[in-house]
Amino acid sequence: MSSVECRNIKKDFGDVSVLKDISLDVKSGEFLVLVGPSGCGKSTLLRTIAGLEQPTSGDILINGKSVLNLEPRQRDLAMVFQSYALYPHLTVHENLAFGLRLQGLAKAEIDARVREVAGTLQIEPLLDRRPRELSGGQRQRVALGRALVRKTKLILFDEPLSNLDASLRGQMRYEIKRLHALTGSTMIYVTHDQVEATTLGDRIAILNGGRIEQIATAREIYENPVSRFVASFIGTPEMNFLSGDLVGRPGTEIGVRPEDFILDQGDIEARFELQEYLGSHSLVHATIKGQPIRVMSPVSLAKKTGDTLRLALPKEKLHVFNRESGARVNA
Amino acid sequence: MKKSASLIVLILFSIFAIFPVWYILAVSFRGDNAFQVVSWALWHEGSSLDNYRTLFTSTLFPIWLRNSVLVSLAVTIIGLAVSATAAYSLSRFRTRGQGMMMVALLATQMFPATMLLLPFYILLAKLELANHFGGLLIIYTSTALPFCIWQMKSWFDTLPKELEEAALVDGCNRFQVFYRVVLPVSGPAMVITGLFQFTTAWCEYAIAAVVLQDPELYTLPVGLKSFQASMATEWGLYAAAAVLVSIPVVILFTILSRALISGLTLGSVKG
Repeated sequence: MSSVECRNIKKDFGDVSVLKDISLDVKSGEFLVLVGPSGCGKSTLLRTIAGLEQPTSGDILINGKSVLNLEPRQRDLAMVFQSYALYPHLTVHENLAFGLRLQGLAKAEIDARVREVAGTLQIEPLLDRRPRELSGGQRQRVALGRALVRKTKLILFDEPLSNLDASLRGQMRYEIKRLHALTGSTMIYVTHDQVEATTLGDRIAILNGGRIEQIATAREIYENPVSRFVASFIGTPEMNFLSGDLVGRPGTEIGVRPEDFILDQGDIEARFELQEYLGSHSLVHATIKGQPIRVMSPVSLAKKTGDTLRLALPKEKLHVFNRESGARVNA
Repeated sequence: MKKSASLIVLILFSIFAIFPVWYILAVSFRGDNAFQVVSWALWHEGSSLDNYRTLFTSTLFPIWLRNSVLVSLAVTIIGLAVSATAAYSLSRFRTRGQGMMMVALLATQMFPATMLLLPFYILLAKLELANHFGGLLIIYTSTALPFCIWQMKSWFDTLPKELEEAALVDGCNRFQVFYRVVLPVSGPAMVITGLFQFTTAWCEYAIAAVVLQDPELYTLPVGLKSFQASMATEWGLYAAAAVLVSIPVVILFTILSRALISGLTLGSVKG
C-alpha cells in the first residue's frame, strides 16, 4: 500500500491554468475519488500523479518520497484508462502478461499470476482472444486485470466505467469495490458520476475550476457541503436553491434537498405544477413565490396544476450559502 | 441499365489496362522479334521460351536482378527505419519550428527528380559514390523520405495516445513503447510505405542510368534499356525481361494487400 501526497500542485497548459495549487493527502490503502465537472482538472491531476504530465510547480510524494523526477514506470503504480487502452496486437493473456514480461519475471510465474487474476475477474475463457473480439464489459475487465496483475501498491482509474451501459456500470462498480477490499491497494479514481463517487470512495475530493472545493466522506459532503457548488454537485435530484429573503436571511441563498421538505405540514405555501412518477417515489415540481423547487414525495399526490401545496422546512436541514461567494454560512 | 453500362465501361477499361501486359507477354514468347505485329494470340507458331532462356544464360540479367533486389530491399529497410522514427518523433513530440519542418519536407516533393540529377551527380562524384550502390541508396532513400515521413506521421497521429501511456505505466521506456506497441500496430502504414519505397527503387530508371556506368552494377530498368541498340532492338528479350521484372512487384502487392486491411487497432480503445 502506498500513500500519496500532492503539495501545491500547479499545472498550466500555455496560458490556461488547469490545476491551481492543489494539495491532497491520500492515506495508505484508501479509496479516494476525484470528482467534478468536465474541465475541472481531475484527469490532469491523476495523470500528474501517474507521471504522464509534469506539474508546472509543486511536488508529488509517494510513500513520502518525491517522484517528480521518476518516469511512470518507476513509480510502482498501475492505471486503468477510460478507453481501456488494450494492446490490439496481443491476446488477452499477452495483454495481462505485458508488464510482468517487462519486469523480467519467469514464464511460469507470469502464467500463474495471469491465471490468478483472470480467475478473480472471470475472464479465463477469454485469454486467447484479441481485444477486438471482446465486448465493452469484457475489455474493461481485461483493463482492470492488467492493472491488478502487477500487484502495484497504487492503482489509478481514469473514468474507467464511462463507456459502459448503466447495468454493466453497476456490476463493475461492485467489482472494483470488491477488488479494493481484496487487494488493499491504494486507489485513486476519477469520475464525473456522483453515484460512482459516493458509492466507491472512502473519501471524495470535489474539484471545481482546478481547485479542490471539499474533501471528505460522502456523508459529510452530502450533509455539510462547504459551498453552493458542492451542494449542487452531490445529491440526486439536485438541491433546491431559494432566495434567503424567504426565510428572513437577505444576501444569502437557502439550499434544501428535495427529500428534506416535509409535505402537508408547515406554513410555506407552494403552487403544485406537475409530478414525475419514479417507482419508489414521486418527484413533485412546484414553485414558491415564483421560484421553482423540486420535492421528493414518498407517494403520488392527488393534485393538479395550480393546487396549493403546504410544506415545512426543518431548520436543521437548511443549508445557507453566501449569495456572492457561494460559501457556506451556517455550520 | 445503369449496372450494365458501368459493367461495359469497366470491361473496356480493363481491356485497356490488360492489353499491354498481354501483348508484352505474347512478344516475349515470339522468336521473330515482331514487335509491330498486332495480334491477340498469346502463343504463335514458332513461339518458345527461348527469350527467357537467353536472358538467364547469355545476358547480365541475373546480375541486374540481384542488383535490383539488393538496392530495393536496402532502400526499403533503411527508408522504413528512418521514416518511422522521424515520423513518430514529429507526431509525438512538440519542437520549435516543427510546422516549418513539415512544410519544408513537403516542398522538396515539388522538384522533379530529373531536375536534381545534375546536382545529385556532382554530390556523389565529390563523395566518390558515383558508379556505386551507396550513391544510389542515398538518392533513393532521401528522395522517398519526405513522402514516407508524411505518410507515417499521418498514421501515428491517428493512434490513440492512451495505448502508449498504458505501456509507459506498464513499465516501458519511450523506445520500448515504440517497438513493442507502436510498430506492431502500424502494420498497414509500414506495408504501404515499404511498398512505395520498394517500387520506387525497383522501377526507377533516370537516376540509376546517370549514377551507374558499369554494366555489372546496372539495376533492371537500366539493364533492360541496354537491349535497345541504335540499329536493332531485341524486342523478344526486352519483353521477356519486362515480364520477369513485373513479377516480384505483382507478388508483393498480392501478398501484402491483405495486410493493408484496416482495423488492426479495432478493439484496443473504446468503440
